[in-house]
Amino acid sequence: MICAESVATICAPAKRAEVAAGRARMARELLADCRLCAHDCGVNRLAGETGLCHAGAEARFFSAQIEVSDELELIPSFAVALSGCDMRCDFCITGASSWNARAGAGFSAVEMAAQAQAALRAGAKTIMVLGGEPTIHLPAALELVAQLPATAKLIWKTNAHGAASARELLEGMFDVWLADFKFGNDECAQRLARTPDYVGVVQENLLWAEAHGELIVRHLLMPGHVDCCWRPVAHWLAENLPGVKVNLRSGFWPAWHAARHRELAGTVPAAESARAFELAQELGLNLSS
Amino acid sequence: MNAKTTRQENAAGEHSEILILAGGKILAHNITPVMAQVLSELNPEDAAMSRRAGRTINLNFQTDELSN
Repeated sequence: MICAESVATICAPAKRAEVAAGRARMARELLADCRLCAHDCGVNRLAGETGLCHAGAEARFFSAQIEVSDELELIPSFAVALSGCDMRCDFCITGASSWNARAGAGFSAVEMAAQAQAALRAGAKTIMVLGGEPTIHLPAALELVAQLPATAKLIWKTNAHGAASARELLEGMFDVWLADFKFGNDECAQRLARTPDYVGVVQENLLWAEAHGELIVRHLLMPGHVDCCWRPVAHWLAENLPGVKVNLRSGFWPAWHAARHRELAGTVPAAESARAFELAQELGLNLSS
Repeated sequence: MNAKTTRQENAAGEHSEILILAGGKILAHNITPVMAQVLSELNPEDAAMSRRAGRTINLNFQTDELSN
């Protein structure tokens, strides 16, 4: 890790801002040959080129507010949602903003940090950076960290499809990785989210995150995908990340382009949901809510 | 599917979205503290939502069943 004088995985809080500022500059330089996510586009975002996420050099955000939607141990959280994503999940509940990196308003780390600090004073327990997918806006995310108080508990909410180069810059910056493991096989990932080679990338990132800090893994149950997606995810978690907190979410919402896929046109049937939770219990997963 | 989705935004630009299914089930995301209180009052027996609504916050701050 870059803050090498510390033996702890998380940077000493007093140093986090300083380290984040340096890494933000490094991350911005990486935009000249952007390989922040596993799509590995290699475009020069500083020169106006765009890759699959269509993000430019400057981040935008579409939401910044206190929320109580997430895991009970993390809320109330001041959630900052950056526009744009490197995946194209047809069922994305924020598809209009997550598929559009130009959505929302221009992002200022200084102004957002001021809002975040006001939220902390109002009672927010954590500050959460999400998207879309925040990895594609790594410079802005690190610039925000550089502006935040040393004691703030920071959450990185991610699709876990980032590249190794991105996660190295994230090491020690966020207290908790709240990471999705959406698909249990590459075929579903390609068909529903146009993301090839998904499973291996996510597994590598989850293993890294668990080894470098606190990890909570989320899986959103999709109707008709208990056996092809949840079952392999659950077995992999049980075998490779025993004890990790798992949030199995049953509130699938047929949003955005979900209706393009017959099985995603509705919610998760109660019987499927029950079967999914039974499997989690059989495997001894550490379910959280 | 018979459902109604509503985006609720207050003067501070805060927003939540709810999806009301034909069977009466309500899904919600981007739940603000105020929305959690509303949902909790709609269904006082929802212990999970009660816990979310109970998280103390200064509601004058300006600024799932949880979903996707």
